[in-house]
Amino acid sequence: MSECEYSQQLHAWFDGELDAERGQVVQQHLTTCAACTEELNELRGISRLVGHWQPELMRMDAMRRIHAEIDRQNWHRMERLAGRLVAMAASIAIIAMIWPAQSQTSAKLPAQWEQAAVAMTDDSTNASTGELAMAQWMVDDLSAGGLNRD
Amino acid sequence: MEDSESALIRRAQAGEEEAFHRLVDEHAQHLFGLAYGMLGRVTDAEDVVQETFLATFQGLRRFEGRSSLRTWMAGILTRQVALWHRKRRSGSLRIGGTADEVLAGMSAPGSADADARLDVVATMKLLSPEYREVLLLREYEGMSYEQIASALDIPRGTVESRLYRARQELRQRLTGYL
Repeated sequence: MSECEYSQQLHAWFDGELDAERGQVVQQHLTTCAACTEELNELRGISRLVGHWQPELMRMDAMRRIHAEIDRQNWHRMERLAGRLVAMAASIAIIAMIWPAQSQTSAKLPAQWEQAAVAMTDDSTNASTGELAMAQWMVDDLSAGGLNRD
Repeated sequence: MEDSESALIRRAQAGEEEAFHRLVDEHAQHLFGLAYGMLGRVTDAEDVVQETFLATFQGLRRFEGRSSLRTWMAGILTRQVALWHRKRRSGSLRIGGTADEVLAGMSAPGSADADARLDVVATMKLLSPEYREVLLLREYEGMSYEQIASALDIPRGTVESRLYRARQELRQRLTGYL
């Protein structure tokens, strides 16, 4: 095993994890260090062995289990989606049933603005009635007075 | 190939179940190799691969394509392995048998390449789970240090030092093959 101080940097360089400047230093070092050159060859060997290993194939029944489980999950997802759609449809139906009934009820009772308008009309009617009475009295009075004077 | 996988991913994201089944067929063996390398038992590896695919199925719409799907799923698998360890409270234990049991099954150094690969499998089991994980994610999965750090939720410097020690240990054990 290499005891060289560059050993750990050599691994990082081998993995392509050093920046260009530090990588150049390691490359330069490799031209003069036999221990690091040997370690680099061993790193390549490890990479080849571990990188291409396939201990054994996954069993067919395990594969079938995965596919079946995905089908099951998908079915549950569809069920949940269908449940949500039914709930949504039911909500819309309930709203559609309640809305006209509420509209009719609200049609019987005057709205706030309608009440205010009616109140204003009442006031103005009262006011007009009062004014008319006053005008009539004044006309009568004037007529009477004028006639009397004449 | 890349284009057809992208199309397959988009179809699966749109909810096309058949497309997802095809993704399973394409990636299952590779993920199994990774899971087996980390866990050391076929049945455990199969369970973890299944959980990984189910998690992928549920979360595929969140996949944005910033890494390859394979790397993304390897990250999910790594977390599933961590969960597996936590559930069994055996995260610090070496798995797949004791060193003596494993070494007894190894062939002699200097044999054919196929034997060498079998011995790598056996030797990997002797490494601690932490060393095995970083080694597999780097060499088998081809992840960068940053990606490994993210998948394992550890600092980048820890990835570098664990990887260095894992390789040194493997070099010592596989000296006849290197």
